Amino acid sequence: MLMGWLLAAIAIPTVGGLLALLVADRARASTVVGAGTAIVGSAVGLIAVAYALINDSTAEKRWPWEVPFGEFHIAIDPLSSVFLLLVFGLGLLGAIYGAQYLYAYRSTKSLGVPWFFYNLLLASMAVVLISRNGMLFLTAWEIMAITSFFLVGFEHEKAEVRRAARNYLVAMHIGTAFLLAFFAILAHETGTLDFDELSSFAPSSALASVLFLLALIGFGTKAGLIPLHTWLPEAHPAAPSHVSALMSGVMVKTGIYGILRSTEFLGDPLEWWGILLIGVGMTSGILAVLFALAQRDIKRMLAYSTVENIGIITIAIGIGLWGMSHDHSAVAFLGFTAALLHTVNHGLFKGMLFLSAGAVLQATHTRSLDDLGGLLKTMPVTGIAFIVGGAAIAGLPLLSGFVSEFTIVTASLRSIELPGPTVSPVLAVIPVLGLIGALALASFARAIGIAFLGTPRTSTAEAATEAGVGLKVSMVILALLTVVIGIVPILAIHVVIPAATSLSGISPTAAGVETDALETLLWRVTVAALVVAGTIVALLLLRAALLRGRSIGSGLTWGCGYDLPTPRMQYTSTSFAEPLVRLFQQIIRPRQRLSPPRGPFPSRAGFASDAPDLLTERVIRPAWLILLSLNAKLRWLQQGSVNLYLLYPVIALAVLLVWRFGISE
Amino acid sequence: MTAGVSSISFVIAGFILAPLMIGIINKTKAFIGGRTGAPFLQLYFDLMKLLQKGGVYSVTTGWIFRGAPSVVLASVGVVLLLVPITTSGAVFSFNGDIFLFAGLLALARLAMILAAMDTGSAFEGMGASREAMISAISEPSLLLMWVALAVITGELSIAGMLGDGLNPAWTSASGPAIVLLLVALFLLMLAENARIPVDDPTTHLELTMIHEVMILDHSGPDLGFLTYAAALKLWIFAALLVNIVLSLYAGPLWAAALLFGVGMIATAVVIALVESTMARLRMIQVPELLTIAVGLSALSAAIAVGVR
Repeated sequence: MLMGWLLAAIAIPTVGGLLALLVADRARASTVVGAGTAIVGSAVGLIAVAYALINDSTAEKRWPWEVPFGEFHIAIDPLSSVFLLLVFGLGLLGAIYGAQYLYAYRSTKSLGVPWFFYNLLLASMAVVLISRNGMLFLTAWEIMAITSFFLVGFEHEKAEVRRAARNYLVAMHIGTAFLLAFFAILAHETGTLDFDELSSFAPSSALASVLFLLALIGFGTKAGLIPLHTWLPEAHPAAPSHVSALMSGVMVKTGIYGILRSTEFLGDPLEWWGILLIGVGMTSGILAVLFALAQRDIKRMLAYSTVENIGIITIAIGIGLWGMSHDHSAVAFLGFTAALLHTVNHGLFKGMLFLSAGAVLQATHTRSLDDLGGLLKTMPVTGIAFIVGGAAIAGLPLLSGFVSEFTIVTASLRSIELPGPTVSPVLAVIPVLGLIGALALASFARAIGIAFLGTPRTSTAEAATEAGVGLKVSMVILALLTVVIGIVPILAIHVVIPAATSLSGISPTAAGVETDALETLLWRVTVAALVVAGTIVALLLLRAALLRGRSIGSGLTWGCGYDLPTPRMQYTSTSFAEPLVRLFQQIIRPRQRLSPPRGPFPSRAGFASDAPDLLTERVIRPAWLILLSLNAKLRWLQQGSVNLYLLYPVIALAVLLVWRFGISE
Repeated sequence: MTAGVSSISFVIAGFILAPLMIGIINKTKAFIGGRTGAPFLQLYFDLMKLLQKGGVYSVTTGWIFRGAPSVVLASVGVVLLLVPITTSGAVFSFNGDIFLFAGLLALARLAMILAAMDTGSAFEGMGASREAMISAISEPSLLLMWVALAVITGELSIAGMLGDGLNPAWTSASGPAIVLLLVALFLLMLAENARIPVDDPTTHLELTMIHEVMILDHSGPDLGFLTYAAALKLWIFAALLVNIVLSLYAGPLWAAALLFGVGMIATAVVIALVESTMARLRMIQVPELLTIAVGLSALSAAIAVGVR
């Protein structure tokens, strides 16, 4: 029954995507079919997942599949459910949003094509999450990479979009190469790729460590962990905004899912795995939020912020594994709970932020912060969504981001129950979260302040109008969820607790004790949130009562007596970030070009700065150049003669024959 | 949640007496400068006056600018509930409330920064940008300090960390850690509350300012809220400082309360002495000062973890 619903949720958008492709030249028809089936399919999927979560039920199906190690084995368990909830939830809202968003391109683009890929992306993500066989998993994984590649390349007439899409495709396949190695070793050692059998595989600690590192690199590339993130700030901004939301909110999380799922195959975790994940997560979190701070492109900044949050999730997974390695059930359980909770929360508010940025992009046709300004007055719903999302990402109370980070802090604090200085890496998480939070606050205050507050900096920003209904509905639903989870987190934690229990491998009794303890704390958070919210309302009422009947003047912003301010006199995104960029210039390394005014009557002067990605500049590009020069050394192979090209396969065949039969003798 | 009568009355005392602390600072500064100075109760008069006034709003601003002062005051006010006075416990306390402490101060900060950006003024943008920079260093430092205290006492809530467990810790191997974090906390108090040498609360010369420039366009009750919130925030940091020192004394509650009052006055006088004898640092040097705070609290945490 449950499986039937899930399969329907996958089949409906797939069929709908094909139909949308058939009517691709008719904009309205392909939108109705494409978006409609995505919405229906996601709704069906949401019902199925909600049913599975509420009734704590699992389901399984197997069909034979004639490929080596292959079997069509699918199942739904608590861990799958958490991520499926995000896939179908954001898939549904993305389709509502996208129906209106993409329609603006109807005169220049065929809309059937993006809907075909969108629906296939949805279906493939769902299959990734329910497949219980390595071959099936990798196949769905590949479809997911390719469909999203075509979505990234939607505006392929732009050179930078083509470059972003190409980078993306290459990065995904480098990641997949490590996953192939991961599964190949597993298959070689166990003779099967069935997840059920793999989960009882107890490898030696050396082999487990190798597998762990392969999984971390392979899945970490998808998740966008630094230094494997360089594709992400290119690809996510290039895609249409509802796809950016789906990619940043959900698709990178399949990497997190992969890391979590693969730990089930590796036996008991070693302590250094947890410490490594904490270290990698901290690096990703701090570096990415610093890069976010220096971006002027609103969607690029959001993409970096995704890397930052993936870092936070990785820290939490690291704490969980560390707790397991020390047999401390509270730390393990709370770590995984926090990781899954932040996965869900980040999916919701990052999705919302990308939808909001997309609404701004559609209204103003620019992603440059410095060409915006004052949008909160003309686009109130879009603006409020962005403010709620930004405050949630900075981990502020009343919003969902606070709850998951609070759970991480609780997990980390509980580690002091263990003796000795071994706890230091876990305790270091707390100040690092503070640093990341303060920097995220700075970068989102900057984005909100420059884009939505003050006065419009350009005429297009001045002429912006509020987004359409489809766009607004999706944003409002996500904003409400962010606030509700922030105030009443109890509602959300039961979604992730079964999965966290099974990941941390603790007994149901221990899980019950820890759940009760966490609930008690989260009720305190609720009380605090209500007290703060109530005080805010009371003070606003007091203020209104005080001001009633009194004279309310209005005038210009104080400019030291200067009465003709222009929008250009406002602080820019670069100037706002300057103190922090200077403070962290060893990491951000801004490129600045200054042509100062010269002579007694200077005619012109200029200043330009940008912040290229440190890793792209210092690691990826040099590595790429080395690779290219190595390739050049093999150029003698290409003589352009057909005879020679025919000789190559003959040699290859001969070598294979010798290898196969020469050794077996 | 130990909401005893004493802890509630201490919080009420905090709400009432916080502006007096600013008065003591200003009076002391005037005395050192050879002036008579404003009366001790000047801030109360200012607040009364501001609450009785109307408002003037820039045409650039919207609801963010009008709502932010209430958010700031509410957040800082709730933080006061988390802070215990003496060892009598806080009104509201739970494991991990250190993160709520940091989060509420951050919420107040975001509201202040957004209100400043809402005016579209470059001055206020400058103040906002500097505020964001300073908090990026002070927030991790503050959390490190809490971690050190958690390790020293084995407690996970603010009230627990500043409770009875701190007294024996002074004479244990983690004693030096407490001293280090006291120094760090003092530096953080100056930075977070826009005091010299980080910021100058007496001048309205925009180019040198952080806090004062951010509230440049506020008026009437809004300005009253912000000024009162600033006084509460200083009270909170001073109370933490005094409490940690006070944990040396394990006597009856009334005597501890009396000593607490003396400690708060002494803190105000020390702040005034610093402000009278030092100049404000150049903005470019402020991070260096704050890095010292980070270093000290990191060292404190390292000692605390190392000796356990």
